[in-house]
Amino acid sequence: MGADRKINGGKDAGGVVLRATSPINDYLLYKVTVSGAQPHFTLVERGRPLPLLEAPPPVQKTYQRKWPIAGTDQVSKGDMFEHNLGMAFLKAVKYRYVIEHYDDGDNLIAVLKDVEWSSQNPTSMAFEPFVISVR
Amino acid sequence: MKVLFRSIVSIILISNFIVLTALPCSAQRSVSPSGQSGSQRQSYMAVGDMPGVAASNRASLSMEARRAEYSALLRRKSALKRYLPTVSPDSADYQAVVKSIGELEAKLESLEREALAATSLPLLLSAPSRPMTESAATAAAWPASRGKSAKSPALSRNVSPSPVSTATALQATPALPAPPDDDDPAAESQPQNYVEWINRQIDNKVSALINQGSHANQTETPSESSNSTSLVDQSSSSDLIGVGLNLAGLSSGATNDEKEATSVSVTTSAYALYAAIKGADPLDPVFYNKNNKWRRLSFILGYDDEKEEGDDAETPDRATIAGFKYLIINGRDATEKENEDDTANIRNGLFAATVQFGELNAAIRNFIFRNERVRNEFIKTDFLDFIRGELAGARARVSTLEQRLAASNNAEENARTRAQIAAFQGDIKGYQDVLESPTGGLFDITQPISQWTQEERDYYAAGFTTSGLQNNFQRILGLLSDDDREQLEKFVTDQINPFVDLTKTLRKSLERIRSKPQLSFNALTKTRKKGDDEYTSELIYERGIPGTTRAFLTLNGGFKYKNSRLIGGDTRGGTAAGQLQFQVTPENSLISKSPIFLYFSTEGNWMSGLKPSYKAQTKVKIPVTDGIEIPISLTYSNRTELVDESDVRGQFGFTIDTAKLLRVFKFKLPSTRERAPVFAPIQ
Repeated sequence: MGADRKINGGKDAGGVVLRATSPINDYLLYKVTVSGAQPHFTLVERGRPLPLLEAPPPVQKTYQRKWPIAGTDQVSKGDMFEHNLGMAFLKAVKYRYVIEHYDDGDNLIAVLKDVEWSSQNPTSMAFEPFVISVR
Repeated sequence: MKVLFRSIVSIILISNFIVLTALPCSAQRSVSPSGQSGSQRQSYMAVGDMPGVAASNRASLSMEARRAEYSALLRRKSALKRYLPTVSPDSADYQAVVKSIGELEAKLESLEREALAATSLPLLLSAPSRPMTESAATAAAWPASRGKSAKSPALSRNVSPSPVSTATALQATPALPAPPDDDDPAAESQPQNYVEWINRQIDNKVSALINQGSHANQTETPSESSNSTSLVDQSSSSDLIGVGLNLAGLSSGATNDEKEATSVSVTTSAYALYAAIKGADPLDPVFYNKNNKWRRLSFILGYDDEKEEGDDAETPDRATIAGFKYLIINGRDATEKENEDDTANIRNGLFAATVQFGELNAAIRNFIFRNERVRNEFIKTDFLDFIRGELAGARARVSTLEQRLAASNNAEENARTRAQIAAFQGDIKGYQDVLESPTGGLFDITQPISQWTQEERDYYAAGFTTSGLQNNFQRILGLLSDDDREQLEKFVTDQINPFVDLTKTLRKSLERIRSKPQLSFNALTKTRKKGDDEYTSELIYERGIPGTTRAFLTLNGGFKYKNSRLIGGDTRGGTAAGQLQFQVTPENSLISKSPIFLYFSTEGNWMSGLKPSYKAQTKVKIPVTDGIEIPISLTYSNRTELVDESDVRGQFGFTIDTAKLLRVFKFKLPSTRERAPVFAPIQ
């Protein structure tokens, strides 16, 4: 019926404490890798009217987005964000969703999430939540 | 007769294989909770009486023995908790199971206390005991996520904290076997964490299910084969490789086995071949879209064993079938511009559903987090463990920054590094204050989140969502009352509309794409060693019938040339065929089956030197499993090829669509793209 979820390497954090305010400017990197003809996914920040990341044409195999982006994503100490990924399987059979945590020197601190959602049912959908507490 | 016998034996063997393959699964899943599971439960509940658990004996147990005992108790508790939801809450059985779980928990806590006393680690003695998790595997995932930095020794908040509890120490020991999730097939079907659970809750509420796979992908032998169950060729072929196999042809008047025949054909798309040659993943979206023209061309190769009437030879004349099909119009390709409207609708619907998911997720998470029992029996200790992990992570980051400071002569960079160290030290102070607080982490969960401390907010966002909802979700669920669980379901029910809307949009899009027109040109040859060679070319048009969602029309029109070995015996003429296709049952991926299709078709042949022949056929295509179907047909013909009499024949066979099968088995060709690095750090 629904999509299947597979966790790669035990990386399945539900959230993270992100030191994303000066002088520590850590950031997250969201990566969505697709198998199929055409992806339909959207990464939505709760309370924000536009998606953080989606799949406009031309189609790609991997889509990625840094967060927060200076000047685009306003963050302050004490803020809490919820980023939810929605996926549809009409023209795609698999989505791999990876969230990586970097410091401001682009050093990878941790892979927080590495999961794969797959489905043979074109009307399937799946949702993946993630919560961020900003310090 | 031999061919017929072999065919029947083959069917029986294949059927047996399918049945035998399916039986163990169904048998495992059909165990009645009140039957075999009940007896298993009895053995689990009897554990409390095990002599080894007696307090008088425990003191003499070695650490290894304690681990084994702890593991056994945990295993039984886990099994009982999985069994519990299958029993009516009003039954005495339910109460007995609850009581047994309570006793097991008490014994587990007792073992933890003893292990705590046995250890000489001051940290363990000073730390409050953290309740054992349900699954060592999931518990192991928590420290496993505390990995090292790829480029530096800097560690995240998840970085390898010191052992903080006896339970953690027990779990971290390799000698401790994993909990017995593997020995319970039912456990596999249970959601293993919160994300799976909430998605399943949504799925369960949204009833629309449509299976993947275009019905128009032809995997049967082409209609040129006299034994084909397909009277009308369809307009597209399988994306990868399709194999059609007719096992037998049965004639209503075949008292002397005159019409035994077997035929096999393989259909492959140029796209599949091209992907294989390039070593590319055919499911790579870039490759898929870039090379969509390759999917317009497909090849057919096969043979058709025939036995002519009056032919006394034991071996039939084998006719070789070869041909190709080219899609002139392909309105169903996912990359076609005509389908962009659907893409926009899906994008909007998905965005709305994801926004709603955020609201639903927050409501459920808040509800669980504020549950008094969850707070007292999980959050109370887990919060402090989280703070200790954060403290370890912050100290590690400070250590890394100090090393960077020592190695750098850049004044500006060093100033920034010092500021970062100071910030981390501020965090460390905050964590230490929490650990030394007399409240012991009992923050007021009744207050709005905005009034919580930073550490409490951090735990809510990162700690509870990971160690609670992802790693220990079954335990968290077990702490909720029936009323609480009902409330969780109500959250989903109350907010289900955007998900239903999205499903409707997806279904509508699927139906629209499937009903788009396709026009193809098909060329086919059938050459025989003894008999006449046949050459056919035809145009095939297919589309959904407007106003319907499950009816399709297919029209064929072509030219046929028969090259006789007799001088002056050549025949040529036109053919025309039409088919109406009805989807009888809804598509249902729950049991991995395609729907049942019913076909009504007619065919006319007007060959030079012969009287016109007309055929009418009714066919039903029954799915066995995803990718394998049995077509059964009944055909009426006004005349056979040589005898001017009407003929009625029934046929059945197997069709195998390897594209579907490979998707089922998650087959994937080697991808050069996947082997190549796909990420460069963003500046």
